[in-house]
Amino acid sequence: MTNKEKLKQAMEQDINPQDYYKEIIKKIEKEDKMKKEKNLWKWSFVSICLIAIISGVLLINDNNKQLKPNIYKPNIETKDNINLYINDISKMTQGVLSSDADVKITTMENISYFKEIVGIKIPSDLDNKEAHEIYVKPDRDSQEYNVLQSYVVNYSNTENDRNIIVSFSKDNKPIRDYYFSEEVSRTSNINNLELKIFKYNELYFTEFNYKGINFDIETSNISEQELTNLLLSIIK
Amino acid sequence: MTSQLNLYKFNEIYDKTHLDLLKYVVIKCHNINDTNDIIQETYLEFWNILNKKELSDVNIKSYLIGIANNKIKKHYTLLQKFKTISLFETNDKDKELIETLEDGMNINEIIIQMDNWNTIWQFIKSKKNQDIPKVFYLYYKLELSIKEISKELQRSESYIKHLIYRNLKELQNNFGSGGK
Repeated sequence: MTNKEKLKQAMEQDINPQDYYKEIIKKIEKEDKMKKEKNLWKWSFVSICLIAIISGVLLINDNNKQLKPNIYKPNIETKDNINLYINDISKMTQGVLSSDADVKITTMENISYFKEIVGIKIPSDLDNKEAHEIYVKPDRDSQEYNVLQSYVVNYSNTENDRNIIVSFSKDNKPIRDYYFSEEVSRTSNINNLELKIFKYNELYFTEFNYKGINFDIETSNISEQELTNLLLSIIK
Repeated sequence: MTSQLNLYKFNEIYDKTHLDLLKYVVIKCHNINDTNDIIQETYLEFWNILNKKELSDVNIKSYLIGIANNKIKKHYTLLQKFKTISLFETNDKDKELIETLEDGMNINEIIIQMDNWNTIWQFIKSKKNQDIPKVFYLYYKLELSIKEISKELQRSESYIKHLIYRNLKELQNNFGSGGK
């Protein structure tokens, strides 16, 4: 090897596009991960918000639009202790709230009432599990997000196209940045607990209080049977 | 999905542009040691822009160079610019010296005792006059001609030649027989 080649090699080792490319990709991935964590609500609910806004606009522009949910009984194995109705609101408008929260990663074991959710039945392919703590400001003027509002556990599959988000808290109703009009919707019953289940295209939502814990559940691309199994594993 | 598509697009753009950007940053930076950081910052900002807006009507290379230019400006405080400003301007004495230098001085002809070119490159990089590592990098790594380097650095050709020949001699003295 000539001196020129040796010097060139030394320069390549020092200023190496491959090395800094790897660094760039690493930083991109790190930034993406941080954004994901920080904007959990955005990531989780932005599509819902958009859909809600769009449907709101459509409602204004189209007075003939359907205003009532399409209520039907799900196609599941029937059991005496459950009486489910799905309020399909895919064609009606919803409201959008604004939420102001910060997110901190936690582990399931750190949640003091972890045992209450440990046995919930999640489809086997949803093997990625992320737990988060949601913090809010104590008051409007505060800069600090230091009040623990609720916990969120997100179960997802490898392709990230199916997921279940379980939010819960003993002290608060988990925050969400959308709501549904409950008028004309029909109540379901599982083991004597009343709850309303809403459907929006491939998404299901429900919220209820069971044994002093407020639950808020959102699923994406989960079947009616899987949703029922999940609810039955909580509401025993 | 958008992210993956953008990553694919980003990789494609990176492959097409990184050599031009590298050359630009080496030429414009005040210290060659900052090259990696400036390039990384440039591409990271570009990645964020790529995720926010459509860049189909934009000349990507010029766009990247614009980002790099801003990064370079932000990277150096005024004080740093003064600290690293060239102390090696060509004067009449240099011109005289250049004329007496052997035209045929070639890096392959110098005899290096210690065969550690990483150390030699670090030695070159540590020069106060940062034109020296820049010229070496552009000449030996990116293989630009003296004329091209002269144009890019806006220095005379004789100044570029002078830098190369004088520093090759220094390498010979420091790392050749009887040297370090």
